Amino acid sequence: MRQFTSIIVCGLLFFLAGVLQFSAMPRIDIWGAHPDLLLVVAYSLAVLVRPGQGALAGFVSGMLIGGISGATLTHYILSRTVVGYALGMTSQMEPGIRAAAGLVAAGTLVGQLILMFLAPPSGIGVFLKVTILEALLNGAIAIPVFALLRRVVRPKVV
Amino acid sequence: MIILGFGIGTFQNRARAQGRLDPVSNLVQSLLLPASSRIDSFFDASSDFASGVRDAKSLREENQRLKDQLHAVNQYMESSERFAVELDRLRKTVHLDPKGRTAVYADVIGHVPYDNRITISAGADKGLKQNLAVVTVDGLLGVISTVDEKSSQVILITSKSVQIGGLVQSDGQNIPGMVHGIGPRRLSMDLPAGSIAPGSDVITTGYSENIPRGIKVGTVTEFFEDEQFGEYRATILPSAKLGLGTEVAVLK
Repeated sequence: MRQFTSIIVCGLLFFLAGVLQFSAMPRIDIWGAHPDLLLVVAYSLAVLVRPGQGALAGFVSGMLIGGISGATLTHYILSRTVVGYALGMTSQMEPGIRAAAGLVAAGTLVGQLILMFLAPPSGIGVFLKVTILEALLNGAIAIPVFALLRRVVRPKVV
Repeated sequence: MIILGFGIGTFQNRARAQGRLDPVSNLVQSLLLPASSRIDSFFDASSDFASGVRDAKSLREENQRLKDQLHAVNQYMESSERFAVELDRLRKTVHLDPKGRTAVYADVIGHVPYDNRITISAGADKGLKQNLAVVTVDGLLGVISTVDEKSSQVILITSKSVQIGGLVQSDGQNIPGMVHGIGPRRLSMDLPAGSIAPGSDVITTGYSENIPRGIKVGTVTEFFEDEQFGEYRATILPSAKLGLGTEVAVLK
């Protein structure tokens, strides 16, 4: 029953993140960088679950972002699935909120670097600058998202 | 999952090659876009509202500034139209037919309505003398009554004290008569005989040595005929009106 609730909440979070990603996030512009809510939800979830489930979260995130933007799905799915799997491997260490925020930020960096190799952008310098800023933003947003997901996915045992 | 990702990508590329959207992207877009566009509209409205509140002072100032500019532009347009009309009248005055006399141009510098009298800015220094015709581009305005060094008094033809010889041009006939003022905007003409159609023009006869022939006096608006008493009288609307311009010409 708890697993079913977790799936529903995660599904809703992905839906909400997808909707906000294409409505509210483009309005937040910090030196050209925009937060990636889908990435934050996927990676925050990946830090809490097993590697396979983390990979699935990354997969869903890549599918949603690629599908809605009309970009090549393979690049997004591949980069995010790999990072999701890797972050899932850290779940055994049960990271705290600050560690999770750092992991999400690092995951963003690595995921975007993979994406850069799969689909090289025109201006690599600008891409890297924006990626670093985006990683910092995602790390900051990951703090409340991770706290929420932790309550749903891995409740504290008393 | 990676293999599935490649599969989806391949499927997407094939769909693109066929010029259509792949089912995965189609499904994602139909799920997320409607809600996304609604939230987008909400943020747009909120953003407009917030900017309205934030910039209220500057918007009010800008609004006032634009209103002032609009007012200034309207005033300029009105002045410009008035000047255009005045310029047109000046051109016509300069080119008016002096009927074989010499035209002396002057401005109306004073007006006494109850006395049907105006003052013009030319006098003896310009060679003006009593009883000369004062005209505008529309017709006869009055005759000079007194002359000073640099100005002259003009009695308007609407004055009861002025009588001038007039010719009614009706049905190819020139019927002479005496024209005199009966009010601020009406003239009366006593005729020896004949029948006159309203709308006929009245011009000066030229029988006076000071007023040349052919200056338009006005237009007949009514004709009164009493054969029993031998009374034939026309009411005339004067052509020249004060207030349309300040330029006149004296025919000397």
